[in-house]
Amino acid sequence: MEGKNNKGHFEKFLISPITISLLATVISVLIGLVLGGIILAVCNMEQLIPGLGTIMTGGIRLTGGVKAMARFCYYAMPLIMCGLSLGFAFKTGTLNIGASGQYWVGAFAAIIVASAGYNTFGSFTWVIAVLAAAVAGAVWALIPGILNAYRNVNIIISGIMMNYIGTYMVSILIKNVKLVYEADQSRTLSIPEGTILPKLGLDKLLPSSGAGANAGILIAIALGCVMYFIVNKTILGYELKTCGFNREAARYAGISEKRSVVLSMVIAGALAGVGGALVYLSSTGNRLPITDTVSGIGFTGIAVALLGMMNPLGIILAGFFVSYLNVGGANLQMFGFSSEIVEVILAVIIFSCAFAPKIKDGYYTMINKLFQEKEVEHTQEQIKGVKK
Amino acid sequence: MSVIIFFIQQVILFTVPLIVAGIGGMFCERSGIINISIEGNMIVGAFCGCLFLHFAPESLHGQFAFFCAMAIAAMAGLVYASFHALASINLKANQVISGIALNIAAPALSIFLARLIIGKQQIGFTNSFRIEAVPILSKIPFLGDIFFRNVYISLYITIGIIIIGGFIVRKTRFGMRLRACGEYPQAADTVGINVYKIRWIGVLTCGFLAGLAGVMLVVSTATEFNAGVSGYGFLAVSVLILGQWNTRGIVLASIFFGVMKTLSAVYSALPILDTLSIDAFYYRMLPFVVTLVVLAVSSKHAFGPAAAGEPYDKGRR
Repeated sequence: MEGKNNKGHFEKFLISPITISLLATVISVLIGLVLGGIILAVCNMEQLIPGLGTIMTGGIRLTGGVKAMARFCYYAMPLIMCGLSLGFAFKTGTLNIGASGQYWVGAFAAIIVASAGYNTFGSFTWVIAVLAAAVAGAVWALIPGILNAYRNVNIIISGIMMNYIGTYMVSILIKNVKLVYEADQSRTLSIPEGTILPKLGLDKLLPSSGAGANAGILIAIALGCVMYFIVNKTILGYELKTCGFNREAARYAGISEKRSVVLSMVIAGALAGVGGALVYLSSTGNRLPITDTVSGIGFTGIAVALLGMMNPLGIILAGFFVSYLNVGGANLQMFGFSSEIVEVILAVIIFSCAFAPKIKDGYYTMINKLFQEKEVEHTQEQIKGVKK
Repeated sequence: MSVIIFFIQQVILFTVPLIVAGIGGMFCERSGIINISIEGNMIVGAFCGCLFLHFAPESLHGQFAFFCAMAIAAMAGLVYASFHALASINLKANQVISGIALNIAAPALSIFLARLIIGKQQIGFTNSFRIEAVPILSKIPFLGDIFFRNVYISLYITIGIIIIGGFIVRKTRFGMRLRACGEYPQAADTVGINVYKIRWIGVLTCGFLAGLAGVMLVVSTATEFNAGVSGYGFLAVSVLILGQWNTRGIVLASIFFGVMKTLSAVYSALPILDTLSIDAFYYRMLPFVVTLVVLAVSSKHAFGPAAAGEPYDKGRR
C-alpha cells in the first residue's frame, strides 16, 4: 500500500470525504434543477427560460432586490431551524421526522406566552416566548425519544404519530384557550405588537411589507454555529456521533446510548420548536390556524439537512439556498407556472440525496480506477527505466 | 335503526380505502421495504383517477367509468411506486428519505398539473357511482340495508382484496418467499430466491393497491379532488403497524380507525354523542394516540419484518 502514501495533493483532494459529499450534493441539486427544467419545458417551451431564470435568480429582478432579500431571510429562518433539528438528530442515527409537530407545538407555545406574558415581562417577552417554544418542542420530541430508547419503538413511526397528535392537539387548545382564540376566523389572535422579535435595524436595511428580516435570522445563524460547536468540539457531540455510527460500540465504550438518543431528540425538538417561535413572532399577521393538515416544514427540513450534508454550517447555507428557490418560485405565476414546481424540484433533490451513497461509491471507484491505471503505467515506466 | 345503518355505512366508506392501502403496505413491508410513501401513491392514484372522471364523456358513466378510474389509478400508483422500488432496492437508498421525497412530490405535482390541464387546483367530477340497491340481496333485512343498498362497488372489490391478499401472503409459495425476504434476505437468497425481484413485486403491489385506495377514498367521500388524501396514507401506515403486519389485524385496525374517523365527521348527527359535545379533533387524535400506546406496549418484542428498512446487499455477510 505504498502507492497510497505517495498520492499527490490533487488526488488526495479528489477523494477526501468533503469533496465527495460536496460533489454528491451538487449532483443532486443539478438533477433536481434539470428535471424541474424538463417539466417546465414539457409544459410550456416558450416560458422555459424566464421561468427557470426566475427560480435561479430568486425573483430578485422582479420584485426589487431588497424586498426579495427580506423575504429570503424570513423564509430561511424555519428552514434553517428545522434543518438543524434534522441534522442534529441524524448525527445520533435517528431521523427526526416529527419536526413538523415540534415546530407547530413550539409556535403555539410562543404565541400563548407572548399573549399572556406581555403585561409581566414587557419588551423581553419574546425571549421568554422563544424559550417556551424550545421547551415545548423538546417535550414533543422527548416522547418518541424515550419510547425509542426504552421501549424499542421505531422512531419514524412514533414521529409521524406525534406530528398528527401535535397538530390536532394545538387545534383543540386554540379553541379552548380564550386568550388567543379568534372564533370568526378559526385561528389565533394577533400577538401583541410589543412581543414581535426586535428588528435590529434589519428592516431599515432590507425594507419590506409584512414579515421580513428581523433578529430571528440572526438567532438561527447563531444557533447553527452553536450546534456546530456542540457536534464537533464537545464530549457530548462526540458521544452522540459515536452512537450514530454504532450503538453497540458506543455502549461497549461506556456511553449510555439510551441517554444519547433521548438527549439528541430533546435538543433536536427544541431547535424545531424555536423555528416555530421565530416565524410566529415575526409579525402580528402570522396567526396559527386550526387545521388538520400537518405542516410540511419538517419534511422540507429534511431536504435542507441533506443538502447541508448534516453539517450545521452547511445547513445554514442550505437553508438560504432552499429559501432562495422558494422566493423565486413564488414569482413563477407570472409565467403561467404554479409555484409548486419548486417543491417538485426539492423532492427530486431529496430523492437524489437518498441514493447519494451510490453516487459516492461510483465516484470513488471511478477515481480509484483512474489513478490505479496511472500508477500501473508509472511503475511500468519505472521498471523499464531500471532495466535500461 | 336508520341511525345505526347510516353510521355503519359511513364507517364502511372510511374503512374501505384504509384496508386496501394497509394491505398494500403489508405486501411492501413484508418484503423488507419500509414504505411511508403510501400517501404519495394514494395522491397520484386519486389524481389520475379523478382526472379521468373529469374528462370522461357523458356516454361513459356509471360503474364502468368508476371501474376504469380505479384501473387507471392503480396503474398510476404502480408506476409511481416504481421510483421507490428503484431507489430503495437497486440504488440502496435510505428508504425513509426516498419515501419522504415521493410524499412531497405527489401533492406538488398534482397541483401543478391540475392547474396546467384544467386551470385550477381542484378536479371536480360528477358522482354517479353509488349503487342504489343490489337486486334480491338488498331484500335481506338489516344486512341487506347495510351491504347491498347505497354502496359503492369498491366495497366488494375490497372484500375480494382482503381474501386474496391474505391468501397470497399466508398460504402460497410466493407469500412464503415474500415473508422470507423481509425476515432474512440472505437466507432467502441462498435457497435460490431472487430477493430483488420479490421486493420489486412487493413494492409495486403496494403502489397498485395504494393508488386504488386513493381513488376509492376520493370518489366515495368527496365531489372533487384537491391535491391530497388528508393523511390517509399515514393512517394506513399506522393501521399496518397496529394490525401487526397481518390481514386480520389490518382489517380490525382499519375498522377502529374508520369508526373514529366517522365519529369525527358525523358526531353532531348522532343524538347521544351530540349531547356529550366532544370536539371532533379528539376523535381524529385518538387513533394516533392508541397506535402510539400499542407500540409502546408491544414493541419490546418487535413483531415487524426483521429486515425491513435495510437495503439488501448480496455481497454482505
